[in-house]
Parts: sequence; structure tokens; C-alpha cells
Amino acid sequence: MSGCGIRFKVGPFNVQLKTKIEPLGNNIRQLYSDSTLLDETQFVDFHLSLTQPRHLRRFIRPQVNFIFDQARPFKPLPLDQACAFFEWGLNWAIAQHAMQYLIIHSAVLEKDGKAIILPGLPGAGKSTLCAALSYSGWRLLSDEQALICTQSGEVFPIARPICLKDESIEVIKAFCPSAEFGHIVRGTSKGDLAHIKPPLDAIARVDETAQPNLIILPRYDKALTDTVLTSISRGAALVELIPHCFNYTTLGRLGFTTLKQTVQQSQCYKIRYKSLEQAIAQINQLHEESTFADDPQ
Amino acid sequence: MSNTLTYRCNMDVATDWAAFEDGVVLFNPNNCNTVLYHPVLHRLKPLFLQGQFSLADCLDGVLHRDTALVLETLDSLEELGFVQRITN
Repeated sequence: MSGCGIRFKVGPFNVQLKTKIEPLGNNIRQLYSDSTLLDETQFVDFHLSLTQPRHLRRFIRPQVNFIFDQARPFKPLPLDQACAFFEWGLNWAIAQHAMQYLIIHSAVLEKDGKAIILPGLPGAGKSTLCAALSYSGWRLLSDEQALICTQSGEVFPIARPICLKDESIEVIKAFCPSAEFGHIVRGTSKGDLAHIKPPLDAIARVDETAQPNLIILPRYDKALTDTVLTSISRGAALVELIPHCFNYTTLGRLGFTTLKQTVQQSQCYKIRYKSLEQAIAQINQLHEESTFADDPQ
Repeated sequence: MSNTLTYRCNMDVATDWAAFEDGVVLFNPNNCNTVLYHPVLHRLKPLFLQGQFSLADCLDGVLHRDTALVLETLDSLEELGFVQRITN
């Protein structure tokens, strides 16, 4: 992956990665093996490289740098976090530059052409729920970023590996035994991390957009016995969604109108869950009701 | 407070106004403030569309009900930059 690196399609973006860090290269080859490879003539949106610093830091507590367009936007991290650094760095590059989309910090999945948006702060349980849904009949559009086109209002897929943390890793290993995991990165600032490869269907249909239909704010709560689903008004949902947007302020009025349109065509809920099976059953029922029946709100 | 108090609307009601079943969300493009308001705003929308209006217009607009709420709402709108007081 040195030289001109590897070029591959990630949702609507073309990415080039250069690195000589072998574990990172192996992880990328495994987790992105179904992605479309690009040749050297194709335009690249994001030029990324992950490199080891020169001198002593190659040998003593080795580190890795993330380089974007020949600049280093972040301080180096421990070398064994290179795989996570690539994913975080790519998230940052997209959120900072893809202003044709309103980008919500959210998992997104699709069924019957309708998208479910699951916004949540880190630790809310959105990635765990997203992973479980993506192995329960829903198509993964994104684990991390809902890309809402500011022109059409459609959600664009950007199916990438799903990032799981700490106990979620074992939960999903048990829930989705066929899920393919990359290697576990231990001791990051976010805890232990592992990425799972996106299902093949998510990559094969990566150009198929979806219409926003359900917005559900999830919250994992291990003290619960039953799943609690609460309807929230669209106005309250809009206000609640704003802090979850990466580029709302940058887009200004366009961000507001895009978010308004997204909320207006969706039904909005909060879900507190402990059992993935129960949460998925509730979400499936909401999808059926909202897709095939009149709007109850 | 004088009923002749006059305000200028600083927002583009066509684009910066999102009406929902439980209230109105406004967007201020100058500072990206967004606030969910009470439904009283629905009844004031025609005045905002005029661009300039008086406190008396507002009170007429809500048929002199919810006067305290109207005053409170106008104060908040002014504080957040959605409207600007032009006479006192």
C-alpha cells in the first residue's frame, strides 16, 4: 500500500490510502475487501496516509501519524491504534469537506427504500443496534454518518466497517456469529474497539439512496426489563438533532432547511433498550406501520 | 410597555421557519440560533411576513389572549436576534 497506495470507493467518495504499516494494510484488505477498487486514472476525493514518525518514535513507544493532503491535523497515536486512526481520520475528512450533505452523527439503515436514522452520542448504543439490525434484514447505509443530500433530501449510503466498543464486541459476536471482525484495538481513548466488515449487500447496493422515514434516538440501558419506545414531536426532534450534526453551522440556512425537510418526512421516537431482539421487533413494527399505513402523527 | 412599540423581523419566514404540530422552530442565519417556541408563534406568523409590526398588532393577532406570553416571546425573539426593536 505504499507507492500510489490503494484506491477504493467508500460510498459516494473515492479514497486513496498509502501506508507501510502492515497490520493496518491487512485490516483494510480484510474489512474493505468487497469495496470497488479504483485505478490510477480515477479522481480521488480524500488522499490519506498513515505513517510512522522518523527517529526514535519508530522504536520507543512507536507511534502513527494521520496525514491528509500532506497535512497532519491530529497528534500521533500509538502505532497499535493505526486501524482505528484510519477510520476516525476518514470520518473527520468527510465531515470537514463533504458540504454537499448535511452530516448527522448517526447510524442509518434501509428497508423498502425507507431509511431509519439512529442518532446518538458515543456510548448510546447506536452502533450495537446498527450492527444487529444490519444482520436482521436491514441494509447498512452507515454506522457513523448519515449523509443527507442538501439538494434532494435523500440519504446516501456510505457503508463502512461498523465500530464496536468494549462489551458490545462480545454482544455482537453472540448476536451475529457470521459477522467478520477485524482485529481488536485495545486501550484507545474510547476503550477497546473492533470493526466488523459491512455485509456484502450493503457494499453491492452502495449507490442506492433512501428516503428518510424514521428518526429514532436510541439509548442502551442495562437496568431495563422491557424496551421503552416514546414518540416525540417533530419540533422537539429537530432541536434535539442539531447537536448531532457535524456541519449544521457551516451549512447555515441550508443545514436548517435540509434538517427541517428530513424531520418533516419522518416519524420521530426515542427508544431505551436492553434486549436487541425486543428493540429490533419494535423498530420493525414502526417501519411496517409508517411505510405501509397512514401517518399516525 | 407601549402598544406602539414597533419591531422589524430579521428572519426570512419562508425559509427560516419550520412549523410542526407542537410549535415552531426558527433559524437565525446570523448566529445559527435555533429555538423551539410555543404555538403562539403560529398566530403571529402573518405579522412576521409583513416584515414590520407593532406590539398592538401582535396583541390583536392573538385576540388579546396570552398577552404575557406574547410579551415574553417577543423579548426572547429580540434577545436571540430574530426581531429588532425599531421604536420605543
